[in-house]
Amino acid sequence: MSKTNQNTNCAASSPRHSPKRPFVLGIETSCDETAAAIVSADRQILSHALISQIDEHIEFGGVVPEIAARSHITYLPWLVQKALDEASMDVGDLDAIAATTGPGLVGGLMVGMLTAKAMAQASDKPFIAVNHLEGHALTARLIDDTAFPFLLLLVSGGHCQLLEVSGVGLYNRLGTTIDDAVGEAFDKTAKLLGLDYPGGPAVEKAAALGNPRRFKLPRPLTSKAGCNFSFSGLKTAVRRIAEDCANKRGALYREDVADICAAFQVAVGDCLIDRTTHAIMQFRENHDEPLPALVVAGGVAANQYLRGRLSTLAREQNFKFVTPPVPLCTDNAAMIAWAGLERFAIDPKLNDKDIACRPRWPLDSHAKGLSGSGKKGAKA
Amino acid sequence: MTQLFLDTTLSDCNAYIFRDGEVIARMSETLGRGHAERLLPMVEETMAEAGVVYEQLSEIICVTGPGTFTGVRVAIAAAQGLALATGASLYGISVFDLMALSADTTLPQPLHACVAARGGLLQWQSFELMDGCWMPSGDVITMVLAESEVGDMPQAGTIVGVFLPGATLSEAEAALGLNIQQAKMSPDAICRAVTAGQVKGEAVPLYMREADAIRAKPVFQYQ
Repeated sequence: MSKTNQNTNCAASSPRHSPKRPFVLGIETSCDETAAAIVSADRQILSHALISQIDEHIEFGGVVPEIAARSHITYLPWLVQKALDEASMDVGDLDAIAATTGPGLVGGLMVGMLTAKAMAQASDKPFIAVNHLEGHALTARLIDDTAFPFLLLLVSGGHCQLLEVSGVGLYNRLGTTIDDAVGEAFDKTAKLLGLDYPGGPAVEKAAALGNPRRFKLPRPLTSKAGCNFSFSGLKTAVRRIAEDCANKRGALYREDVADICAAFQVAVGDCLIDRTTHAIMQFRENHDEPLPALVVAGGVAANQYLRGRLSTLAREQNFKFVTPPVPLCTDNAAMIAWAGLERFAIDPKLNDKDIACRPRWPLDSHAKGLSGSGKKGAKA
Repeated sequence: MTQLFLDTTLSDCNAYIFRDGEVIARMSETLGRGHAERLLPMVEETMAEAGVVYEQLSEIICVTGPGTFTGVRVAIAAAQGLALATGASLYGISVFDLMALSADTTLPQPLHACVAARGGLLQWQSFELMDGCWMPSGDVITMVLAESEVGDMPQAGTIVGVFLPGATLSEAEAALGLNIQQAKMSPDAICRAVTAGQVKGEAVPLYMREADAIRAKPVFQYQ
């Protein structure tokens, strides 16, 4: 197995003051980032050690589950030790140990969960099973002390959802994708256009040089009521335009790619704005907050163009716009430690040691599944 | 010295406690699946049976494979977590070594320890007797039976092996003249070897094949 070209990122903030208990270790292994972090009750990230596996998956044009699982088990113990060392702690100093238990790739989840459970068992600490999506959802409270309730737009490679968040564990799904996740649409578009994986940054970079008005792309579902998303039609339209370009000129040229990316990014932006506007209206009907927060989380929230448009929408709608800094938008362990800490703070007797991995684990497990032709139902 | 031994590579889920060369507690369950859910409760039960607390563990030894798709990582991940929490030293031992340590030393040598997997995939390592112990005499060899000839196979000596789920060797075995005896694992022999420090490898998974992945092909010609 190749262990070359690994990116290590330690994003620990320097403690501003003596951190307050509880201290929670979080482990993230649900996809292609291996990470460990320690956070404190007063919102300090005491340490954060992360290795991205992007370079190991890039030649395959996407995440290969078996490669990811193999890499997690190689990197994780080193990263956990690094997180402990950087926080000047040993396992005995921790109050709880949390790990992503789903949704995600089962091979990776198993590695993180078992390592965390074993650490917890041997040190007589509680193990906290964290829903990866809840990690993204609650990051706003780690960075900004965002009050409940808030509106969450969760946009990543595996998910695209709008949720009302009324408290820890209290989620009401307003809308979700009926086919592809938005990040998946970015990745597939990038792959089709010969750009690198991951597709989000590659499409954004190409789009910056393109003309968004040269090609017309659809805005699926934007004429419909509700808050659901659809991106598969957009992806198909991109393919047709790319085929036309390639057929006319014998190859797909760089300027064609830039123009397609620019049109695609604007179309995605229009879809997100339309659906989020509907969600804001629903949120207003359910809640009477004077200045609620619109939280945008997940890897796609790292896209500066989309951040800008959503920020403008929030301002126009009298919502406070909250989005994590880019390293906390993409998968990371600080958000898992924080979500674990939030749950532990509510119930200090919590111990999820008997919980198994859940590769599919919707945040709002009571949400009605979507059905019908071409609809996969509630994802996660 | 107190050691915890974990194995989830095959259908059995095993947790043993060794102390000063004796097996003082052992649990073994034939599960097929579900090792990830069962292993840590089994560790608790075995520790309790032995009257051992985690602080007393000086070494944790896990079996590194080859084995089932998920099983090769279950014991290692748990052992890594236990080692991080206790500070105990972490070691790995291969399934080839386990088979050799457990094999009768009166068998005709060399001893070929094999793991057979789906698709006629076979891996083996050969061992020879030195000072009354089976010691590796070569590297691990991998082959696909359908692409192999009689001359590629181990000829003299004894062949012991384990079969992973989906391993179908019977026809190829007959054609190639292989006679694989089902290996038996001996906790006492493993304990003696581990106590003597005979096997102290890295706790790194051993896989039989490369990850199942297809390189991305360009959809268009790009300029």
